[in-house]
Amino acid sequence: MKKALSLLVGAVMALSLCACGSSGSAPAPTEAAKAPTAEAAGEAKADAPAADGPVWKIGGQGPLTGGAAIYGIAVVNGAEIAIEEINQNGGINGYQIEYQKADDEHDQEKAINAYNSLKDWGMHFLVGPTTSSPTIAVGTEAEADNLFMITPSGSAVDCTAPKNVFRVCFSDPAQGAKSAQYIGTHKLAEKVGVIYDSSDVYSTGIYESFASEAPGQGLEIVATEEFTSESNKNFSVQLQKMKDAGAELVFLPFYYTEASLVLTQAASMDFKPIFFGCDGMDGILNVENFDTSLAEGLMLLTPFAADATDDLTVSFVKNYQDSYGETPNQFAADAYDAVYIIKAAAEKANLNPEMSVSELGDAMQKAITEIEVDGLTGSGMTWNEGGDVDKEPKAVVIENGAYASAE
Amino acid sequence: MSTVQSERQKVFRNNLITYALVIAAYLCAEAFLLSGHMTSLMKGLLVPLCTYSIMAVSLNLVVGISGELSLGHAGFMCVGAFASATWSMLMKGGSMPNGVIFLIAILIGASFAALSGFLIGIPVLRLKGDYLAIVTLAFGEIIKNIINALYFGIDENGLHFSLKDTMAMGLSPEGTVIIKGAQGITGTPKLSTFTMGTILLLLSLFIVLNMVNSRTGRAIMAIRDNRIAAESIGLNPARYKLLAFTVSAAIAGVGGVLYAHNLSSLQALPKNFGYNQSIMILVFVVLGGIGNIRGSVIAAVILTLLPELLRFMNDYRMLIYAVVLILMMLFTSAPSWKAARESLLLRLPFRRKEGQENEAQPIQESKAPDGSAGSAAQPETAADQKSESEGMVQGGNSSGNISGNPAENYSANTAGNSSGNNSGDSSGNPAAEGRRSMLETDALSISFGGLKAVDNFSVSIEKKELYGLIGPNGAGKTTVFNILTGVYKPDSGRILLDGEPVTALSCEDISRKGIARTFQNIRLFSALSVLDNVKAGLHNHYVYSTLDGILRTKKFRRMEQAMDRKAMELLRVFELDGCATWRASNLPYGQQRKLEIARALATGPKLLLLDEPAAGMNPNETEELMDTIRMLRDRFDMTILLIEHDMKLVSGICDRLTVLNFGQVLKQGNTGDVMHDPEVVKAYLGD
Repeated sequence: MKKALSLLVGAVMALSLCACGSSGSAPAPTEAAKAPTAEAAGEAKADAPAADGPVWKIGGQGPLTGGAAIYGIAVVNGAEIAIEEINQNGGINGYQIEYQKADDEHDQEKAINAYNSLKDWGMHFLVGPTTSSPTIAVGTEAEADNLFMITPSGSAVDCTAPKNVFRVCFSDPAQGAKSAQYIGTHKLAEKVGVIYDSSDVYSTGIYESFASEAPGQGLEIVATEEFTSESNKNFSVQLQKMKDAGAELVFLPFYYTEASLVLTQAASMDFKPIFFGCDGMDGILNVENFDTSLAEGLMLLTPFAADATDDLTVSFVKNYQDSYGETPNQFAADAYDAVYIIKAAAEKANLNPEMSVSELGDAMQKAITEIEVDGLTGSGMTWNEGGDVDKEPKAVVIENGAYASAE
Repeated sequence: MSTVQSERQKVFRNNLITYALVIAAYLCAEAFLLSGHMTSLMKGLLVPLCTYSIMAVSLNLVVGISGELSLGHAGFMCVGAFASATWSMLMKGGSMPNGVIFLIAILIGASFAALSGFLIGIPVLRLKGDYLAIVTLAFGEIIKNIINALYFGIDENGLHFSLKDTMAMGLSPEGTVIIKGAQGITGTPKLSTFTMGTILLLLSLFIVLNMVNSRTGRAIMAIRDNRIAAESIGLNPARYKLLAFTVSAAIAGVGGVLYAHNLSSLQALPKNFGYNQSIMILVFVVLGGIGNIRGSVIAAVILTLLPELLRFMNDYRMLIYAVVLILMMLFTSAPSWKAARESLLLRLPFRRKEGQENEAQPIQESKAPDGSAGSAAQPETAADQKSESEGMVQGGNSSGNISGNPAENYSANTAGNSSGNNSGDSSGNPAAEGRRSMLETDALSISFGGLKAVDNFSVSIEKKELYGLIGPNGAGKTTVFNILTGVYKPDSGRILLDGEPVTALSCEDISRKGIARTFQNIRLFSALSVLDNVKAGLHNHYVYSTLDGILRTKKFRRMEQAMDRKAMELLRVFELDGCATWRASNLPYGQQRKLEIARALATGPKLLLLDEPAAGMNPNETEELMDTIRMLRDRFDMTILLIEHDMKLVSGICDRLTVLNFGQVLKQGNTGDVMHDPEVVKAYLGD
């Protein structure tokens, strides 16, 4: 029995690992920024700059394998595009950028390992991590090293608690509150239902701030239903309760994969309130086998829409599609912006890569509060010392299978 | 005794190597750290390495030593992590020094995990088979989900809980939220250090290795190897399995404490506390060798390091990792690779000697942590021996002195009878001087479904009698044995042992009362040594606590030495002393039978039940067995009831017989009369 067991376990492990490995390697990376290995770099750090002058070393990290890989890959790809552009246009303060990415598997412990491997490589700034809990874990480490870190998409409040951590996206409460304000000021509905993923930090965070902001905006939450990552396939019970409670608007603060199921199931039970989502909803039009006509009228607050027609977005989307064969999502846009934010702050403080990590960290913390950046995810973005961004969310409504401004 | 001592020293040395490896690794890492030659990646990995090594040790106790499959060990880690992190968050910013906070955190983590292990173990470990695997699997997931739904906070009014959301806790504005549902605990102080992790790992190793090499570990492994036989010698499977499981859960809790205090954000994600993590820990154990504690620590270290050291492979690292894992699994476990590896090792000059040693003592090959005592192999003074009887429960014998004559304990009151008298003919009535019944059963009946397996079975066996129970296949003979030893509860009827009612007691209690048995198909503790098989039989006579075993107290040493002596005496009686250190399963068939009898005798029985002792024996062996059985009766003053098909053996040694047919007594009486009874001849012997 032991032997059979060991074989079984071995086989299962091997298969699951293979699966992770191959899914991670599917979107082939470009060769531009292939850096030396983490190990070798750690040892050769001292003599490396002598070879071809100092360069900026920017690290990127996120889950490149496993269930959350779609976000991590978007982040490292988005950053890579920005870095290529900047390098072609002369770098930051005249210094080229080297880029190295690391896989954190959406796990706190692995995130620290990933961070440490980037540190060994000689990283100056970190664009990442991608997801909230690794961001919190890495933030503490980075604070100890005083390494400047900007997370594109770590949206939990605590992510920016360390003084050296800033972010590009809204924090979860900001999104929840902004959603409630938007619904209230535009008088979209009075009776509101909420479905959220109680096993997900992002979703609960938005829900909580939405729920506390709603009464002040004249909204009545008539039904609150939850699901978990283990029961995210069938929403008919939750939808039935929304319907029975007479919700005119249903707030869906979670990712588009589940949202597409919610919309499909709501249509099949003839329940047609206004559906309102957050930035995680971005991407719903690209879900395979999803009848996009069901998303007609869906509203979402998102800082980025891939089919916007401004020049910046158009060129980013084109570059991204050329490089990776996919339409970029909000995570990629956040990471792209993050690199330009680093550029702006570093240029503002007139930094160079020969300064120590800690010097850079101090200077960047100060500089970032003094700059204003126009990016993909917002124009006129500014930062406070707490690390949070100030920008206006864009509300879009899906019309004829495309985003249209809701204003 | 010298083989026993060298065996002990071997185990002791083996354990020392394990500790030394850990310490050497620690010193090595410290040297790199202090000289500044360690990469940040490695620095960050030091505490996780300790955490996963501890988890591997913990799980190996359940899977390897106790033989149960647990698929939810990450759940205990999770309990330990959250319990201790909550404590540290409550104490954060207070006046208590960090060291004290962490020490208490360890205790809290271990006790919460132990408690949950205990609670889960109570119902589950009583079941047989793979239930534990399924229940622990569910437990792991349930814990994760509960924590994800749990909100916990504190304000000036006390503690607040909620399973809904932060607002439902009704905290005052000054209150702090500690566990925030799916967002978990944020801001746990980073108290885990490499030194602390190493100390905890050594401590876990110390506890597990010492426990394994003590009375408790022997009982646990005996139950693993053969539950029915273990019950028959008076071990309580539920108790020892629960003990092993609880200790294992506590150690896993410590792993959780270390984990939680190494990260500033603690969340119960599928990745860190889910099913995959449990499987990962199981992989450490399987790769390192089930039951091999040191191996599993090494496997944990390698498998934790490997994916990190492969980071330079970028997108392919998980693929390479998987391939390496498969190769390692093959290397350590595939039979052909194993053989190749061993022949390679034997060719190395310094290994050759050891290899030859191994041939002489096969137990060393297949069994790393065996059950004999570790330290303190020095013989103690006579004065120490005198007090041995304190902890002993002597089976029906007033004498507490266990040194000296092999049979002394069991035959003190028939000293005059214990010599000679081995002649082939025993037709006289040997129980003449006693004339009182050792076993009396009154109308025992049991049915399974509609079938009356045993119907109205009454027998009276006198002290020192050799009594035979015969009958065709399926007549219900073994069922009678199973009723007598408590495996089955009779539907009706009564059993008196030496005048004392023992009807429907548990196996364990019946063993304590003084009935021992052997089995039709041999049931030895096959992975234990010959010596340990007998020592397992002595379990209830030489009592010291699990804690004594772990701490290697004086009492432990005294008891173990006394046990060794006693066990060797018994082995000598059966001429098995030469192979005391062999693995039981490596004994030849005839000797396995003998060992089973020796183990039964070790429990100090008044009545010995032998179930087809001659089965599978050739005429010579049978002849030898007959002498042995007579010797047992004469030398140990034993009453023996035996089931046998071999009529030569039955007619040769049995004083009286009962013939069973279709569950009913067909005939009872003196051997000669019964065997010539026409009815018996017709029913059983054929025409």
